[in-house]
Amino acid sequence: MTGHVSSINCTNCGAGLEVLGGGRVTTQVCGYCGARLDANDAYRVLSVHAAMYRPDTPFKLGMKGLVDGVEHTIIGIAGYVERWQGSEWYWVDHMLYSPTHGYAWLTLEDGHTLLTRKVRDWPRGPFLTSREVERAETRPTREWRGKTYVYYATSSWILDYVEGEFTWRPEKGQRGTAVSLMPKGKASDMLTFADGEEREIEVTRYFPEATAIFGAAPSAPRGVHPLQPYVPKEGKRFYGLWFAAMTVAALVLAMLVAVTSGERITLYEGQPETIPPEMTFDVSRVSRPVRLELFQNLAQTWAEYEMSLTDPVGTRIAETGRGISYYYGGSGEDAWSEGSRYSSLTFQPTVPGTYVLLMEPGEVQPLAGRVPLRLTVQEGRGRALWLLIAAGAFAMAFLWTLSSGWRHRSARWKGSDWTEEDDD
Amino acid sequence: MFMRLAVIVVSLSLLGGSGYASWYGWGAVDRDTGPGSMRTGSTGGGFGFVRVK
Repeated sequence: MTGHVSSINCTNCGAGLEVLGGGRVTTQVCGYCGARLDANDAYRVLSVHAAMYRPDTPFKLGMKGLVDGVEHTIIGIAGYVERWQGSEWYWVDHMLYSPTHGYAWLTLEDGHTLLTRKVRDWPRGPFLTSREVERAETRPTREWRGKTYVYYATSSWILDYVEGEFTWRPEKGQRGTAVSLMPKGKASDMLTFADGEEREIEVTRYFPEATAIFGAAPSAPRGVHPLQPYVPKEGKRFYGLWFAAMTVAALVLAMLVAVTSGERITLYEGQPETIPPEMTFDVSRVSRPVRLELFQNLAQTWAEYEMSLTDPVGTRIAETGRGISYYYGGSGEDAWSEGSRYSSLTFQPTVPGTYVLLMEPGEVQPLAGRVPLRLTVQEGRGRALWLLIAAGAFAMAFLWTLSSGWRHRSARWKGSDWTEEDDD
Repeated sequence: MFMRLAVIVVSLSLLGGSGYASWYGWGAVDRDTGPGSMRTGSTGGGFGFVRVK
């Protein structure tokens, strides 16, 4: 008959250490002095780690929680680091133990919590190594339990911290690689081909309830984790409908502004040299601008007209001129044009009544003098531009709201290290 | 709920402001017009540049 040991004293420093794991534990690392103890040989000291810094994690050894209805205990903590091109990524694995369900890993990565178990029924095909990934011309895939998993990333990890009990021999500085694959489409789980002391295939799922289950302080997730399922934000439907309605409202109002402009009245149409020296037109609404528009179907020439405008009470509104010029050339993709056949004078009327326009040709090129000129006036001119800008802003907000699922999916795959250059 | 209210208020303000500006033609009036306007320059060269006060 064998008894159950619930605690030991570290054979290196004498500190009391709980024995939480099961019969497959081979190594216990003292959290006080960093000694690696052989659990199968009376906790003989294997080596002593120096200068290990405990990673930031809300989970502690001995914490218990129900994982899928089965009680698990945190028996070991392992901190990892990956360094690549000057950047560093850290994550913490917590070894879980259940007397009935064996061992699993609880991972804390960028504040996200994940649950990992070993896979007994390996996917078809050879074990996927980083070397095979480097040689692949297309993203490697594996079939597992009816789903196709697509290559996501390779990580080369270094063990940076160890404490507690483990079913293997962890040691600071240990290295390994892990090749991860995810199914396309909805986030569900990730297959990892871990190549360290021994080869294992693991399946990891998002496990956001971990801190609550184990009674740990909540962690604040940063960014979108590759395994994080998409959860529409509260009010997405409302905001989508609201911004769509605002877009439509702005467009309808813009059309309203355009159609409520006054009638366009022709003041003159004929040769430039026969322009009457004085023209009059009536303005009934003074709240919105009035526009005088010149049109001349010019080609490779220009004309300039002097204009003087007086309001019904004799106040000078404009003493100015307008020019029309239009040039063009080239053909096909090299075609170009410059200037406009239109010119306008838009003013704010001061009082209702009859306005007087004095107009005469200024400098008119001989070619332009033979082209008819048309002068029109239109009151009640609005400027739909502002409403169109607002409609654009609302449409952008609508599309932003609508695309949240797509943006989440993009963010999930953003961390993938597969690039088309790998085709080379 | 506060967020929704804020979005509604900001959206309606934007719609109202742009509607007002569009209806009254903000920015449409040429700078060389207005009471007391007087000639200060020439279009020169015949390329249709607007004269300014």
